[in-house]
Amino acid sequence: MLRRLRGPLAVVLLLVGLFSVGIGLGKAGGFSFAELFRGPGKAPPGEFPVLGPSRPLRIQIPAIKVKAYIHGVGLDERGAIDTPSLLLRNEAGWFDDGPSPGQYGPAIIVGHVDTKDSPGVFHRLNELKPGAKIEITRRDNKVTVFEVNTVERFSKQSLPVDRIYHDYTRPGLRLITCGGRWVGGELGYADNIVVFASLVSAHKA
Amino acid sequence: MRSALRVAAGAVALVVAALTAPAPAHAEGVFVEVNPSTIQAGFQVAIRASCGDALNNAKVHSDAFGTVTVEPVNVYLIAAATVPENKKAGGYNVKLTCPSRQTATTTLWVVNHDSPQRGPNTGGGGLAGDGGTTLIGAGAAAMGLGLGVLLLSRRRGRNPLTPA
Repeated sequence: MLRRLRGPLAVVLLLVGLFSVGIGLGKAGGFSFAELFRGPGKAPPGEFPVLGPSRPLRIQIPAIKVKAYIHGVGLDERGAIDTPSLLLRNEAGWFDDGPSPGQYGPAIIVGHVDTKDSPGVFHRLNELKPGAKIEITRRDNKVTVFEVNTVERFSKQSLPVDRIYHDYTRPGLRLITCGGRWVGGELGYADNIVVFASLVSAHKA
Repeated sequence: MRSALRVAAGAVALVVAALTAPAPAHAEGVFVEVNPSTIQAGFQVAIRASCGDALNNAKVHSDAFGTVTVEPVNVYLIAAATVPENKKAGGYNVKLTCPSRQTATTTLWVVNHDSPQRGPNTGGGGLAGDGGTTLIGAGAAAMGLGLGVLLLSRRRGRNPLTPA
């Protein structure tokens, strides 16, 4: 009985081993399953509301179970957008020199993918799919609803600055967190995950 | 009596004409709007206005971009204006002054920040893993084991792929 199983066992072991080595090599090169199953991007609808300025207070992304507070952040000494303290596990940072969510232009919100030892507020950002909804509550008691267009990964050294920060054609949202390989040191992770989203509606809280 | 009827008919015709004419959203009245209404300093905005009609040039002034002349294009008065790069962030009044001295205002929100060229450091590394080293090691071990089993069964004089 055991002898008869030996052949298939060998084949299965070989295949599992090959698969595992493949995934390992992929991971070393920055491969991710979430990216494989994300599907194509979704274009924003033609109609959209436009709101005046007001600070964002809370963010909700039901698809990946995010419910967090938002506080303002500026630029750090290296010219990158500052991030919330690693101790504030469930907080995101809004770049308060840029537009508010609902104004024309891209509202930028950053969040950690992880802290030193646990998952951060945006640790599942990479799993978001085009079409998912993001709700942001503002201080003027309005809820702005954004729809995800694409989720993309870029090297931190070569971000597409115009696409992320300079698109003023409609009210937009950019959620930014870390991804890719961990290289440590000054850089941390090698890449940024950027969610591109567009305002589709707004209502009273 | 007859003239009264004629006037009434004329009025009805006018109303029908007004209702069926391809009227743009703001055809009536005096207005000015800026698109986009929020802009990064150094970028350009489009100004669209109307003085009730769109026959003569008019002036649009704002502390954000100075004074520009809007000119008739189709049914609107149109111009483009660039916000200087050193303009401070904030809300700026935009005021249209028509030849008839009628005015209209709107607000242009200016944001001004250096564009971050680098990405934010949004990770502490707690979930980083080891970059696939474990998987590669385990996979190689499994393959080695499989190969071993294969050789073992070969030595016993059997073809492992087609067991008797």
